[in-house]
Amino acid sequence: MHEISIESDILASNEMCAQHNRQHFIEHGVYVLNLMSGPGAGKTTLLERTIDMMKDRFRIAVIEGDVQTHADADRIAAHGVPAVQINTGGACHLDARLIENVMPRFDLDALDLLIIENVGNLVCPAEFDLGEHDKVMLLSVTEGADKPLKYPVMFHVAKALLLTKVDLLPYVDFDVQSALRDARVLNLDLQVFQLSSRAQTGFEAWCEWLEGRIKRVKSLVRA
Amino acid sequence: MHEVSLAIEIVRTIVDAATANGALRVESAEIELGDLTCVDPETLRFAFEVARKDTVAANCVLHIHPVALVVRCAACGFEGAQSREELFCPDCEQSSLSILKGRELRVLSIEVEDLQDA
Repeated sequence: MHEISIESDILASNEMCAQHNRQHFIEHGVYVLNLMSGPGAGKTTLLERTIDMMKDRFRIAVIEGDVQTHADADRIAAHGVPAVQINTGGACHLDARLIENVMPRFDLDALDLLIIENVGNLVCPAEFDLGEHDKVMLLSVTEGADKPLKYPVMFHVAKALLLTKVDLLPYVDFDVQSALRDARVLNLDLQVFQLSSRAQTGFEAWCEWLEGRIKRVKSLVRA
Repeated sequence: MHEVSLAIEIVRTIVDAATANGALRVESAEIELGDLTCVDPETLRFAFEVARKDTVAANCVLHIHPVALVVRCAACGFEGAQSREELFCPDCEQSSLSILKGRELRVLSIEVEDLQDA
């Protein structure tokens, strides 16, 4: 019997591919966002509103991750921005290799913002770096305020939390203060935005933050 | 269910290390699994047993070593264990914690037999 020391992260090959993706995005001056949430939190609808508010000032494209169907990419494309669908065929998350594979389908020099909508899942996507600059997560008020402590990794890795469907707050027992307190315990620097895609509220602050992040990546390219 | 992806990566890592060292059979593998990863050990074990088929690790026993959460408090300097259900400082009860241990997903080592002469 013979022992071989390995000491290697299980996700090392994904991390390497993600770093490569990120370097590529920075070279082309594209800010990349990895948008994550449980199923039905409103990612695609939020994207549609965000695109409509920002597409006159920024060049946007979207990668849609779903287990199956092209429905989401079709919805996004109807807003006049390039959208590529990735079907994972059963897998519960996107990984860096899947993003690398679809990269040639975009003209990165002609983009300011690339949004990757991950597979709806509060667990698995949090572990996989795609090469994005920021992870942003959605939590809808219909899901319940107990989610931060039940899904700590997602809240820990997110740069910003978008609390969605806040127009429904009068009809659900969602304790905003308690949810945000738990989320901040997991992530002190978490940026929080409260939005409703249906009532179209809260989008100014969110888009302003996004704009700041896009400009930050642009300044890295010039430096 | 990302345990399947992780199991495939574990098998790849083990097989690469075994092959590089001229081993024909991997007996066991030691891996570290942090408390603050959302990985179910039993699901991982099941996925590993599927992923290892038809490789030099086909009979490899997986030893999973859990790593407890260790935090550091930026407010009072506390460093120590805390449960993942109570993510605030046990000393000063502030929530300005950084995570020192608990996010590990690592292959530590393998035991092999039948080393070929290099």
